[in-house]
Amino acid sequence: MRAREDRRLLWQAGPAVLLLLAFFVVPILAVGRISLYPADRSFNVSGWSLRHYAKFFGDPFYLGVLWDTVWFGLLVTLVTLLVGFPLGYSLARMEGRARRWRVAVVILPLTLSLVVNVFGWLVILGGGGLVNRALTAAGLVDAPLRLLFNRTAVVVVLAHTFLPFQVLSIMSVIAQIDPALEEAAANLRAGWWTTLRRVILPLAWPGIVAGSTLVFILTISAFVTPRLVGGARVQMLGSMIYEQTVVVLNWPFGGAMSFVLLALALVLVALANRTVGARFFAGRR
Amino acid sequence: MRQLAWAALALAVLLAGVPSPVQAAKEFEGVTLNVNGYGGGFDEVLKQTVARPLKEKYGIDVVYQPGTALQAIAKIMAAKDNPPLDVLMIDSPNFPSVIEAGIIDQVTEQEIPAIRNLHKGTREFGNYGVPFMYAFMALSWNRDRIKNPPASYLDLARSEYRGRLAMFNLENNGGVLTLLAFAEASGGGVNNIAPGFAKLRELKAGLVSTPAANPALVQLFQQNEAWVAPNWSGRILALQAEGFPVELGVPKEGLYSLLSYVNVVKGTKHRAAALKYLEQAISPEAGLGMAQKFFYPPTNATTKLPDDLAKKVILYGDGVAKARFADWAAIARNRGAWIEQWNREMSR
Repeated sequence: MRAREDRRLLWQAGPAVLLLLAFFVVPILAVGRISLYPADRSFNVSGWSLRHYAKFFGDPFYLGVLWDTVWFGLLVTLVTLLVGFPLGYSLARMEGRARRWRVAVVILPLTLSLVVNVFGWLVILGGGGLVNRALTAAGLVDAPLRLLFNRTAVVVVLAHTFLPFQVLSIMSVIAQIDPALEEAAANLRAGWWTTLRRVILPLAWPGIVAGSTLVFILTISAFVTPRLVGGARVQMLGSMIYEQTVVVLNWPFGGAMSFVLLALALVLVALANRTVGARFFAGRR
Repeated sequence: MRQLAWAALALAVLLAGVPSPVQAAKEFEGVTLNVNGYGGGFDEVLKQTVARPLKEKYGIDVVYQPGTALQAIAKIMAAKDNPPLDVLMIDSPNFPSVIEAGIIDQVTEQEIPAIRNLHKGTREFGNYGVPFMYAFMALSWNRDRIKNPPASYLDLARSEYRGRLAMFNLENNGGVLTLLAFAEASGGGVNNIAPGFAKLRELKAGLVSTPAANPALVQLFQQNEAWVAPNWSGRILALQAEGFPVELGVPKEGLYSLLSYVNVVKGTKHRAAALKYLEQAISPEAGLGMAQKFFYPPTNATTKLPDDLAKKVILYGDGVAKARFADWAAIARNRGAWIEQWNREMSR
């Protein structure tokens, strides 16, 4: 009985597995191979070498960019968590129609092209933009503030772009937590903080981890936003990979950096899986 | 009655089938040339001033395939034996790799006599490529904000422009030309870029942003984020034409230029027709069309521009002496290293 079910599952997963193999696994392996070429180009070359990885890890400049990228990832995740948790919670506790259109509003940014989204922010935060005009009109500032082309702008725009992922995954777990649990906690004289810490958060943990993992990975691989709103001094790994691949045409080095990024994402997913697993079983006990 | 109708029809068919003397003179009737286009208004001008005259004079049909120059190059490389394009339109920076890849043919003055009319120095790659248009970098500033405009690339480091200065990064050819201008103005050059980076270090704290794309730099002006920047002349003048208070200045160092070229693709089945295309592309008619629409100067010295337009495009008549050309082969060799150094400098 069990074996037959397994076989049926295999059949059902078959097409998806083939698709992933052909258009995902094979290209990634190809990029991995290219990253191991000894030259700075990917045509008319042969042989194997780790020199592109050595260049990356042996150079404080690139390590700095890697660290910056991770830092951006953590910061953006934190911001989406702080904004997204209350939002996800309130959406989860809403009924039917009220929730439906609010969810639509949350998802709306995802339906826009990233470039449109970013240009919208340029208009809002620009020297002659919405925010600055409101501030000067209210007499709060004399001259327009420089709101763009710094690290804060990158964090704000990335957090806004990726917020829906955080909200949706938190909302979906909290919707499954029976409100009776909160009432029971209140009955036992738990304040809201204790209820949040000892009832809601542990039960919502898988959703929080899933949302945060998504946001972190999307942030560390971003390359359009940092280039457009970050100005001259913000550098992230994604932009650098783009530059090596499209402008310099040094595919081996671009490939090596891509694999560093991939490794980072994989390590994170593995860690996330472990904490979710541990919590999950701890809850069962 | 019915017979008469048939006879009339037969006669009509016969008459239509017999070519008139004018039609018979069309040398390339039925030939279709595939040319890469850049899309939008650019292709519209080419259709009016290049494709239409070719159809009228020679019966050549021209089909533009919009995309970037790099996409067009990749398309030809992928099918060298049966190239999907007959004419390739690219800019100076593309030549080193295109010549190395062997996908374009040389074209001599004997084949296209009008090449003789091109301004001196515009055929940067010997017999490869026929240039039809300049694009050059100039200084630009917001006239409402800047009372003391820069006269030289070196002036951009002035403290009064701090926080209001923008320049292209090295992904944009305009950024490469700006860096080269910094280097040459400080005693360096394409093979000694260090003085250029020294200048960059001096002014980088004043840079608002270093966009890669042309529209992004224009947007910095429109949004009032940047007040001073080296930019492509056509972009500055287009912004001015929209009524924006931007001024264009000729820097003391000269007008660093690149050229747009047309080429016969190696292995085309319609080489003779493609040569006619090249000839028409450098005609005064086509040059005038481009200058009117985009303010980029024509390379053909016999092009007549109205006075006000001639003043705007600058590289016209005696003005062409202001053009400065770059060694694109050397740039191609160095660009990767420059970009790496740029990233390091900017992160400090």
